[in-house]
Amino acid sequence: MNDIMNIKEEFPILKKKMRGKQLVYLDNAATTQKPSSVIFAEKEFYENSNANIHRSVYELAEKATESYIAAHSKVANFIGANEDEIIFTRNTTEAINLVAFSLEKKVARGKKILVTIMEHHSNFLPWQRMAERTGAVIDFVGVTSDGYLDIDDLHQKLTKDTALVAITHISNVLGTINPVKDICRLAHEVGALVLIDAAQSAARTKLDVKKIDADFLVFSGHKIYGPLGIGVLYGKQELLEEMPPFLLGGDMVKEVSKERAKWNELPWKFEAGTQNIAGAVGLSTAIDFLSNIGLDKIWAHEQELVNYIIPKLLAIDGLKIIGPKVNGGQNAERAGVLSFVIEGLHSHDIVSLLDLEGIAARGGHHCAQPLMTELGIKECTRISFGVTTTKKELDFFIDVLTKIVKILRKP
Amino acid sequence: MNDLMDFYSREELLEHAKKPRNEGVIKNAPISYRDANQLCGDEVEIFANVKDGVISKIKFLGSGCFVSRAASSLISEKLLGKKLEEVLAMTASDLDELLGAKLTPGRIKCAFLPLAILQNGIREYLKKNKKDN
Repeated sequence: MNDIMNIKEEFPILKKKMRGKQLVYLDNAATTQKPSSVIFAEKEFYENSNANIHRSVYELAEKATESYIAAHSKVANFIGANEDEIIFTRNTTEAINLVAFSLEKKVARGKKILVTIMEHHSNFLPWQRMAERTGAVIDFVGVTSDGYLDIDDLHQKLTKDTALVAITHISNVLGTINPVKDICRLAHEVGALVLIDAAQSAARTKLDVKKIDADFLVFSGHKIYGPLGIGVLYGKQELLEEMPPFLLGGDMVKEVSKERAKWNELPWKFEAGTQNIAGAVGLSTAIDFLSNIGLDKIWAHEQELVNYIIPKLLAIDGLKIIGPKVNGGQNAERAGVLSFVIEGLHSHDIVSLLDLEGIAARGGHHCAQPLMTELGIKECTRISFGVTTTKKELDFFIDVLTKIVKILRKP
Repeated sequence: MNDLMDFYSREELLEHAKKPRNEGVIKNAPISYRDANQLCGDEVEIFANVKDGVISKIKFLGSGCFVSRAASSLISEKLLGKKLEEVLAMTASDLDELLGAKLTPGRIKCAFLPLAILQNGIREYLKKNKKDN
């Protein structure tokens, strides 16, 4: 299973040259490239359906409103939610900020907010501020030296005073897959709510919010082959109903007087102002794109690539994988988000030299500085796979990386 | 040939990166400043002595990438004897000239960081001296 169904053909950008070389895109964890169908859907919306939604009665506006509502249903079906439970945001970050703001009243002084040390800054900073504003304390579940979530530490820290657990499904640095279903069960046993950051998992594995029993789950459109500027917040209906709105303005109210306002129904209560309607249409098309391939197939493809590259990476002198180094076959333990350090070399020198060969990879701290500190490193190099990634590309990457090590190591 | 490749293939620069000159600390240096590269979190700290309004000694600390280490090392040699105002007036293009390689936009900040830190240190030094006088 190399290039699954010649899917690369559907991505115009992947035919481009970078620095005069064929682009090899290995930064899917930062953002995925867009298939023609998604690009076309946005264009088509602007050419045929563009109008502001909800309150206009002319045909064009009805078309736009219909598409926008249909996008909510599409996302709801994609993750096993009800359509009232799907709120569109700009991105994962905004979705987390929304929850952190609107949930403040539920978090009393002295209560605990439990996050993990492997969180992206966006699933940490909103909670840090929530703790400051509510007088709650923030605590961290650690990682083992192999880059797994420290489950013993979780058991110890998940106490009765825990109000909320915020955890990533797949780490954007380690690639570790966290057992979110078990974590939800454990958290619910002590009465805590759980927010799952699914930014890295939504395009890789089938999500079912009811099976996971997540209270909140968030992800971005642009990381699942959809457009930039559209993100998703899933929340359990009864929680969303209780929560006050985040942003105030048009469309999120039913009635407004000089003194007060009556909030609109879900999900509109949380969607203030004119929304990214074209983005929602594009996201809807991206979900079709993923569903047409099948997430099972995508997962299998990625696992094959992970198992293929790990031994090749480890064969490079001085290279250390940051995160799980083994993969468990049926019970996969890591995703195709692979970070590494090479003794004596800096990630930005590595990625600059990869770039000269057309390979797009990422260096730096990956917006996870607490994790870097915990691991005793400042930065690392990351490659991340997508549906278009092939073994041939990985072979080329390994060849170039081997040469880079030689250049930079030369005494 | 690509300019960035020039950087990595030029012996002189690689030499500076691998065996940087003037790594270390100047105790009680009148100019000392530390900052981080937002791109990667690497920190660089620069120390400098001043004699009659010119830079007389530069030392630096910081692990960093080849680009930032080579730039730190080069600066520590090539800016000696320069007037403080001259160093303050230096821009990214002066740095290209100093390095003899034009970096990609993404990496300019790595090279510019040590110079920017030195410039901030000089500004702080000048401000303090103004107050003292």
